[in-house]
Amino acid sequence: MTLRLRGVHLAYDGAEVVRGVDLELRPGELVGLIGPNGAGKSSLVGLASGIVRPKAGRAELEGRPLQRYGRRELARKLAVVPQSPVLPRGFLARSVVSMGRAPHLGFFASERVLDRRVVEEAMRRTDTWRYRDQPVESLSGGERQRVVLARALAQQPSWLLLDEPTTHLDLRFQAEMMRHASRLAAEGLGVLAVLHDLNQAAGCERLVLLDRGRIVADGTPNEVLREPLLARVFATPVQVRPGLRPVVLPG
Amino acid sequence: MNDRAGWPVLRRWTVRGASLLSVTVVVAVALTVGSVSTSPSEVAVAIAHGLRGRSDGALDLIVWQVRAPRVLLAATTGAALALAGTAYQAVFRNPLADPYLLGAASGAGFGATLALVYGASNAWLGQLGVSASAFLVALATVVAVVMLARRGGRLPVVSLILAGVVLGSSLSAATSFVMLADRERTAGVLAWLLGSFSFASWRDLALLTAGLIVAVPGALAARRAFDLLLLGETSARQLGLPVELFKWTVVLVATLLTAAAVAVAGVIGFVGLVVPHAVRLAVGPEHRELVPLSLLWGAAFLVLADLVARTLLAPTELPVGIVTALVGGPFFLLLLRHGREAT
Amino acid sequence: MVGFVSLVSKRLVRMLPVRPARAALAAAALVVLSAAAAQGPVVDDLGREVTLAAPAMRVVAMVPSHTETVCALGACDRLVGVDMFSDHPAQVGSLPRLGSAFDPDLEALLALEPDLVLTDEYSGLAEALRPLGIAVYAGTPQTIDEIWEVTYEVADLLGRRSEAALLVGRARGRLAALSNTVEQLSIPSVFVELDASPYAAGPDSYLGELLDLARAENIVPAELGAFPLVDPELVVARDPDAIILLDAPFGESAASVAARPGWSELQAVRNGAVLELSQAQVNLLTRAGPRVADALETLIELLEAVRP
Repeated sequence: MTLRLRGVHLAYDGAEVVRGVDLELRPGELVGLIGPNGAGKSSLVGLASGIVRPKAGRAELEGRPLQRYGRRELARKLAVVPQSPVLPRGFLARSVVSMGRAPHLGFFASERVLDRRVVEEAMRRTDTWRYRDQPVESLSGGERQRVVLARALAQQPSWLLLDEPTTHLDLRFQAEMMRHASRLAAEGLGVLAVLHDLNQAAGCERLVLLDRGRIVADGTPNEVLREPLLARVFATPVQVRPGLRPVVLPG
Repeated sequence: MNDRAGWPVLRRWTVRGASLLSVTVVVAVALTVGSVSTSPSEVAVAIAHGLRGRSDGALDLIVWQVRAPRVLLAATTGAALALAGTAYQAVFRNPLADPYLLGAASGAGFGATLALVYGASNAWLGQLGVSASAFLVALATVVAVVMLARRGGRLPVVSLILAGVVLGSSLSAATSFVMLADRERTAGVLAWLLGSFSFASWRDLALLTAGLIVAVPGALAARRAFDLLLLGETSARQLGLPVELFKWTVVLVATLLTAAAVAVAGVIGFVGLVVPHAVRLAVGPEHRELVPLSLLWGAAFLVLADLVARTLLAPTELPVGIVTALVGGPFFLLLLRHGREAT
Repeated sequence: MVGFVSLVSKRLVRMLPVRPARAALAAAALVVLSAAAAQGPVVDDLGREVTLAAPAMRVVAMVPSHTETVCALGACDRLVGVDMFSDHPAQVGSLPRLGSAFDPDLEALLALEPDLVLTDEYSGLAEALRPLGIAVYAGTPQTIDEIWEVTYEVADLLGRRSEAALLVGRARGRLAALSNTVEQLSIPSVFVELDASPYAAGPDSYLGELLDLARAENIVPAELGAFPLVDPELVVARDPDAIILLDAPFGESAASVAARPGWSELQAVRNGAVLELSQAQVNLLTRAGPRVADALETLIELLEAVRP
């Protein structure tokens, strides 16, 4: 019961962006995906969510190849919080979150009591229920990000992919977002978070370091956040203060 | 900061009911007003006769054969154009999209021109007639635009718009060129292009109604999908929407509807553009209300516009496309200003 | 039958390149037609048969030339409604106005309960009226020969055949006589302008035919069609003796023509041979109808001053 990429390759315009990646995500895990810009992190999210098909290799969810899943079926299992979500003007927060119920509803089906309850729960968990009747454009960046997270939760997924969920957020909201992610993993979801900030990433129980399309490290933060490795991958000297939760500083 | 509370069921149905009522009232008024004055009871009698297939005299003829198809055609055309506009605005995620974006108007204009100018000398064209010719060329144009814009199996929105603009301009130029060939008929072409319901027939109405019967249930079913598209194609896909298939289907159906509307009524602008915006202003952008209300308000708007077109300067008629432009243009400007201030 | 032959002969006549031969053939055809006075169904320019149980008594005319034809046939009292451009003869001024063929007031038209509507073949009015069970004749004369045909066809629908024969005979006689008066005169080259684009009247148009009968040369070649949009260079190159402005009622004048690049040097401009027509003259010269002889007379008078 895993989300698994096996030997996947991906190329854009002839340039290889993912070269032979093997990655496994287990339920209840919070995995941080790190690496420099252009390393292929977002592409991996695309591969893992089935949006993009690998040139070679396979993407499998719970033992089945992703393309064997019906679109809606997949959306009921796996949710993505994109990097810069587009939120249409004029929509109430609650309406946006309700869109997460789409995979569970057919064309003509109206929302049922069950759907409204799931939406409410998702919003309460992300602390967005109090903005439910406000138009999304009146919310702050952090509030909006949480609304999108609520939408993903409304899908009732078992797997959650977060693509740079903390970029553009205030410090306070960054920490909050990571706490949400941890809690969701604790509740049994398999969570993959693409993270820019290495110190935030240090809070994950497992890190995967990507460099130019290849995984160069996969393990606990202490195993992965090592000075020589980071210095090589990020092409800049770094200092790592070891500890229960390592701290990374520019060298 | 504002508040637009999530709509309670009562409010939803009140708005829908009020809209339906308005359309009915507008249609009733339009049936009673015309260059020959008629009282409401005379109109009712004539309609009753017409429904039973009777025709007793000029009044019956006027109300049942001239006014009724005209008013109903204006209503269905308005509904069709507003629906097509709503659909295009969702698929293209662009508030400036209107039903003629992919060249349906230019195509229809060219087809109509060919029939009007060469219809007398070319037996096949003459048989086909102006409406059918307009419809076919409109359809062919959009098909050509879609083929041009295709990238692999996908329909990128930007390519569609570009191809539509390019093909549209070429066809407009071709139309002007053909018009030069015969000055006598140029007047006829211009009149057709500006849009008019003056020769509305029950047959035209049947054609358009058939189109709506196909399109409306589909549009109502697709309301959630339209909302999803507003999140961006990737997110929509991730939420389970088969985006490419959906786009193709919407473009096809909206185009059929637009081509049918143009074929029977000429090119009437602003309805497809302005009505969805007006509805959004009043009730918000969610398609759950937007789709049905656009249908109703589009119908009412065009019936009113046609009423004004045929009574303002009686006994001459204004082309209805001019009335919609005169109303729609300033309204759209107001919308733009309101939009800017709100941000 | 009469209608069918007339259709076919129209086509044949147009195919012949040589004008005198065409005139001869046309005349011959017309003699045959008049002789075959069997009252067959009338076929209009859209190829539709127009059949009436009895001669029409309530007639609507949506084209000025039809109005004039009906009145010339002595059936003016049968007109119940006309289009807004019909202004001749004076008595139609009191009739209800029904818009125009392109922009008709359908309701008012139907309220008059006509048993025959005379309209043109371009506007679509015919197609709109036929399904309503109204007898419609859709056709307008585009040439002098077609005037005779249409006159006979309308006369058949009105039951005024003998009046038609008289009318046509008299008109053709006057045309021949007028033609004779100019037989020995010099031939001016003329440019007939319809509007400032410039659209011109070619030799194959009604105006072009009148010009020919008035013994003038049209500088527009026949290959360009009946109402071509010409290159102004053509006018400058041919330097006509006279320019006739049918767009004078819309503001064109000798002065505005002189202001066009290169046109100030034209001999017509320098000699004051730019003829500005009045609206009445324009109507006369563009409505192919019973006043054809008056039209030719007017044209001959206009050209008198400019013959070289």
